[in-house]
Amino acid sequence: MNTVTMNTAISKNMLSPFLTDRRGLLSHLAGAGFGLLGLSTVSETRAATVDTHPLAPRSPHFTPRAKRVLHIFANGGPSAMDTFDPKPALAKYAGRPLPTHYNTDNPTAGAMPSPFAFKHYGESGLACSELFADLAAAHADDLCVIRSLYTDTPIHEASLRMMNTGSLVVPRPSLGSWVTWGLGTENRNLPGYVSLVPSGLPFIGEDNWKSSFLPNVFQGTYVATNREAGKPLIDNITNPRLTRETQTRQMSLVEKMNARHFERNADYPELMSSIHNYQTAFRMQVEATDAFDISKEPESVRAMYGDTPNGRQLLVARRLLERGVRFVQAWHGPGQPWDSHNDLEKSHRRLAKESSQGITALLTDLKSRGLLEDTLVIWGGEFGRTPLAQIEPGKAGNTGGRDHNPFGFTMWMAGGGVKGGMTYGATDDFGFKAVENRVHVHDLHATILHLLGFDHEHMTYQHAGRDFRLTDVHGHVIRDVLA
Amino acid sequence: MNRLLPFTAWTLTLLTGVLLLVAPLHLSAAEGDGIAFFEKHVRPVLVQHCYECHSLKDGKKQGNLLLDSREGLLQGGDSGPAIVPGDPAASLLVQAIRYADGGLEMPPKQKLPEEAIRQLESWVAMGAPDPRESRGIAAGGSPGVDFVKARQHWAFQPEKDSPPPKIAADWVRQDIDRYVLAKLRDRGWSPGVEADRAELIKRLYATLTGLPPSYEEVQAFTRGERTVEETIDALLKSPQYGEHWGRHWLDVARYADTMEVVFDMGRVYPFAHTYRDWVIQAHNADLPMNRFIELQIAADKLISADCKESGDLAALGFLTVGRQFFGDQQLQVDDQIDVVTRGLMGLTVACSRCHDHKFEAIPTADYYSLYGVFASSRPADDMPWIGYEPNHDPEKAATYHEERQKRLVAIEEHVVECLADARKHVEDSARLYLNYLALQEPNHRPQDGQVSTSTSEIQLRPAIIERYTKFLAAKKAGADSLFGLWSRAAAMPRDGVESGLTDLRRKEGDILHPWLDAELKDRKTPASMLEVSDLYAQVFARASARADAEAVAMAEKLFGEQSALRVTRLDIIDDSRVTVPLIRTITNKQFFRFNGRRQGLHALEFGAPVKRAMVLEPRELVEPVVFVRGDPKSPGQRVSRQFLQILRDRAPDPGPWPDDGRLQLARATVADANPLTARVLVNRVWALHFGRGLVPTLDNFGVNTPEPEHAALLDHLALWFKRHGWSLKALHRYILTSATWQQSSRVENREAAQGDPENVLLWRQNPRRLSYEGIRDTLLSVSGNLDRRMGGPSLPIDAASNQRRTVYAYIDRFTFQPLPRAFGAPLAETAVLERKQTLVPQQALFMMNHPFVARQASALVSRFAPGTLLEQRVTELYRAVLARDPEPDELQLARQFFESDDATWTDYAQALLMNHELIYLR
Repeated sequence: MNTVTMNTAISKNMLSPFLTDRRGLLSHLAGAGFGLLGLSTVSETRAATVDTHPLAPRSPHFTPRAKRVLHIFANGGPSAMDTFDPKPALAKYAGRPLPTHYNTDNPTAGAMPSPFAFKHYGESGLACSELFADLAAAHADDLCVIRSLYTDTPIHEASLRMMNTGSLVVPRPSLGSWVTWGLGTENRNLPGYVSLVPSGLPFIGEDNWKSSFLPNVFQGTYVATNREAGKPLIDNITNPRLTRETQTRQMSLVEKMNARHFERNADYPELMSSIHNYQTAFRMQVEATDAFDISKEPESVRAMYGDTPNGRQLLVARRLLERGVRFVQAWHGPGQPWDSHNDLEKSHRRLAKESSQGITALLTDLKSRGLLEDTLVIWGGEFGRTPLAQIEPGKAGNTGGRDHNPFGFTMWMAGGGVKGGMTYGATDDFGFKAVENRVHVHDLHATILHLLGFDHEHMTYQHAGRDFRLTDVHGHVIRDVLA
Repeated sequence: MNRLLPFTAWTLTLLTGVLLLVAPLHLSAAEGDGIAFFEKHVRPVLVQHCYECHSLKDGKKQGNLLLDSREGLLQGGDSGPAIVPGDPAASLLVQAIRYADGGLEMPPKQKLPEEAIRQLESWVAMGAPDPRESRGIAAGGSPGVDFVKARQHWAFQPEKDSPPPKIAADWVRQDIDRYVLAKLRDRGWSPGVEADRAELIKRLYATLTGLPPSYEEVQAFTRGERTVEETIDALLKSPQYGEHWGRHWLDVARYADTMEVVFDMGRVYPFAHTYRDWVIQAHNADLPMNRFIELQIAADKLISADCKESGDLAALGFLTVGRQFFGDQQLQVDDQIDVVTRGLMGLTVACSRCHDHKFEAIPTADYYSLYGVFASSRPADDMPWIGYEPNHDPEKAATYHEERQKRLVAIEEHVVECLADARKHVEDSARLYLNYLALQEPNHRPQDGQVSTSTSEIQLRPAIIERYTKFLAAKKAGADSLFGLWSRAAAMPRDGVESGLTDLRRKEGDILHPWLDAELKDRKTPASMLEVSDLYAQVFARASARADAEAVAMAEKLFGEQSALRVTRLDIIDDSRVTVPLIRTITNKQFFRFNGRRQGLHALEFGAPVKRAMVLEPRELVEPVVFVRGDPKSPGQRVSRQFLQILRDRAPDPGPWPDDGRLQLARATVADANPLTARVLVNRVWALHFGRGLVPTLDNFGVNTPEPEHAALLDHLALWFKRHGWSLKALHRYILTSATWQQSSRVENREAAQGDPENVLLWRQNPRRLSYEGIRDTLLSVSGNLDRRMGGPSLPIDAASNQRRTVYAYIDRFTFQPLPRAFGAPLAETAVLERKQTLVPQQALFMMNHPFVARQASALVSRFAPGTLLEQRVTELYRAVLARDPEPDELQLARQFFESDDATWTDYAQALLMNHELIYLR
């Protein structure tokens, strides 16, 4: 694996990239009285044994099955009965009311059978519609399909918040923030938690990846991946004026000034941390730029992912993951692309086409690099869609689309300690409501944390007078999906 | 708001702390019927099938659930409340006995007989009347708050007015120093030396204005031409003081310029800045802090009616610039409770929303007492005018006023129309709603249990369904003579309605309401619940026609002011009742139109020539009840609007408050006898001057916070502050002129450094880094670019033209700018009393690469004429940036740098801006 281990990360940080003679700086700093005073001796000893950097790698409660997470967010709510949860019984009721009904956001009419053909794939015989045929053909036996998810509301905003933060309305830290807070990151030259969107923002914007009361450093770093070529993806990562050479000279001057200042203020250890911080930032300019630059990939790899916004984005995601980024979220697009209220046949076909190739390539790629076994890949939306067609009052016929369905929906996971080639739970005959082995979003969160080595009930952060958890007072680990 | 049966009143006695007194129940005759039903059909089932595992008598509470008292049922167990009175479908108990959910199946051994299940459902549907008294503490609930013990907690005790330690030393300059020196001497330590004059003046400037002193100012100070006292006075007088300390306050107020709205995300508050400007002005005017706080809670009630245009109305922004939570009123109020209690008094009251605070002296009842206060107001749509923007164009202003008036009228017309339409809908569609309710009756539900809300005729509005449901539940619970027949029919089996009704008419014909009797005469006996509801629909229709006096009276009873079916103005205009489609009483189309017009008004306010205050306006007076586990669907005990119990005897008006109580709450918060507000305030000021509070948890003074080492000093400061008229400027002067504050931050005392590394005893000053705003403002200041204009609408932080102080930057709490994020500025979600300082590479990347820093560097260079000697230019830059002359080795560094041909002065100046000396203070 290509990740930087804790020890090398520290020792790398101690060296200055600005000085050709690294020993020069160290002896310079030593001459500045580093270690001569009581306080700095204490802090120096501590620094040598305990890495106090907020992003320093940390061990979870128990041995984890997954070390990093990629959450592919099909925002808007993909339909289960058109992808991974076939419901042939719908044909019987086509155009007619179903025997069971649950109220959703918008008026609905009769049942709408899936316009897509389903087949069984792999040794496991996993069912999948033609929309993700490529994915199933290559990876049916890697996918752990959960068909019995449910959430609390048919409203996008609240359901996004639930899926990302475990809370419907009140701001709380996102899953990625909790994970990064718990585990730190393996590569401090990159942000620990990155949220990728081809362009623009999904609904509720940055609330999806906020750290809330956890320190800011655990907030997702938003990166628009479909920026025009040559434009950097991380803010201020390149200098618009200076060449590498002139900047090296400038930063070398800064370091000398600050080393001199530290010499006179050696009882103020943060000044040394800040010197190191400049060094890290300086290296990041190369490393972060490199991580996001998929032109460095061989042509064959780029072709495998596909030269599309989603394909390129997932390739960026893989480059980040292999460099030690802890949590990556890859959103399908701005707004709510999977929200097919109208002509679902056409829009779901397009959406699957936009994403299927990249997802298939990603799993293949992770597998061939040996990364899949400890990378947890999650796919899904904030809720699913109704088995009923939606109607627009005052208009004849139906819209050919489906309304939001919080009562039952499907997601899948792969890699990172989950069983492949299985389905878990079930919805009723029509895919309206999860009825067997129901999985609330809190349960999904508990399971993800478990795979990462955390007992979700003991992963707490004290804030405003009490202990907070991602799962609040809820959540059960779904043991049956653990490999 | 609680239309259910009155619940057992709970009173906590102060003497024993935990003993619960139970007030006797007063039952009306109508309630008596329900009780009779309970005794006949419900109690026997509970006793026989449930008590074995769920009663105190049998000593068992499986799943933490007790079913032997009303409280037990309402409070529920591990899975939540067992019943929701009036709503069988939402009641866990009903789901469990129905073996419905595939999960909970009770009783576990065998399902109850169908008849018993139906009767339990009917009982829940009629509001679950229950005469049983609580036998003490319901299972799963909190053991209650031990107020006797809580009162002993240091922070709830009045400040101790003890004389400062008698101590003779030249070092002492203020009484503060006596407290500090006494503690140091206890350890055998001496205080730190006085800070170097150059360090001291930088520290004074940074702490009071957030801007650096000029070279000349440093010179004058180090030469002794200006004293510390004179410098402090001059800085306190400068308008930059208010900007800096106002910004500190805005952290508490979770100030931002945006709120969430479902249909256009990230909508901007057009007048949030009037609150920000008011805060700055109040600081500059040294408005006494008790008045400052009082105004922020109740300015609208403190300002006399004849000066309603007072700028002080803007103070209410404290309660209104928070998130709006998509119009969710519960959460808006939660935010207001938190900002007032945690932000001002260091109490985490918001934790008590769902259950008695486990570690705190705050029962849930306290939370809902305050809930009643805040829920009785709402942010005003029509905000009052508090003045013109400077240099406005009178002609444009006239056009603006005219246009605004037009848009207001258009909104009002639409509201009136919607209101009439919604009331008409309630009457005209009565039959469909009654049909729906008939099919909701447990005995008459369709086999699959689901009833569609879309009929062939119309889409039923969920909010109106809810009203009809409540209306019916109230009528049933009240044993209303008109609805007696409904209840009786509902209790009959599905296929026995006709025979049952025939029987009923034969035996008790005279009990029928005359209108029903009249209807029944003309038709055959209804054969199903659905037909019974049609019968009622006829009654409703006859009332609606209002053909005679009797019908008018009936219409008043069914649809009038007192009826649950009445749609009110608030139903049309209040966000909490319209933003979510499921709760709208008006149609989607009407809402979109209403919202469009409201947004039209909103849009007009951007760039308006006037300032408006974000005030509150009265809603309806809320009589609060506890929401069991924070769920408004589970109303529990009734509480009064009043002050927090632990502080009640320290409030000038402990309540209950007859009106909404916001003014009384404001007064209680700043009452001299309130032991918390002044302590929290002086502690935070101390933390801002020393980098650490005397109480280290600035926003938590609750029972788990140990008495601080310097408790006596904290009390001394709080009392001193009150005696000096709550003057913040006086407090600054007092603290900054102390020898303690003027100590050097250097580690001179090795023993103290080992023994007290956290510097609790203040053996030195603490060094610190400038805040995010301080860094940006300092860069602008030393480059000569700082635009010192004050006030007005917020400006984008990233605009190159924005060279004003950072406090004036636009803050979008939804799309958080990378820059403030990197430097640890608060997220503006909840009150922040202490910022978390982080060190991340993004900060360094900003200094290295952001065009803003390069712009300051080049401006800095252009301040000085080119062509002079290197040494001279370097000296000029050092004086501008670090307010001192360069030393020989620094000149040497510069010479080395310029040995390279492509080295530029801008690059050099930028390097100087990255010198730690500029942003790290000693």
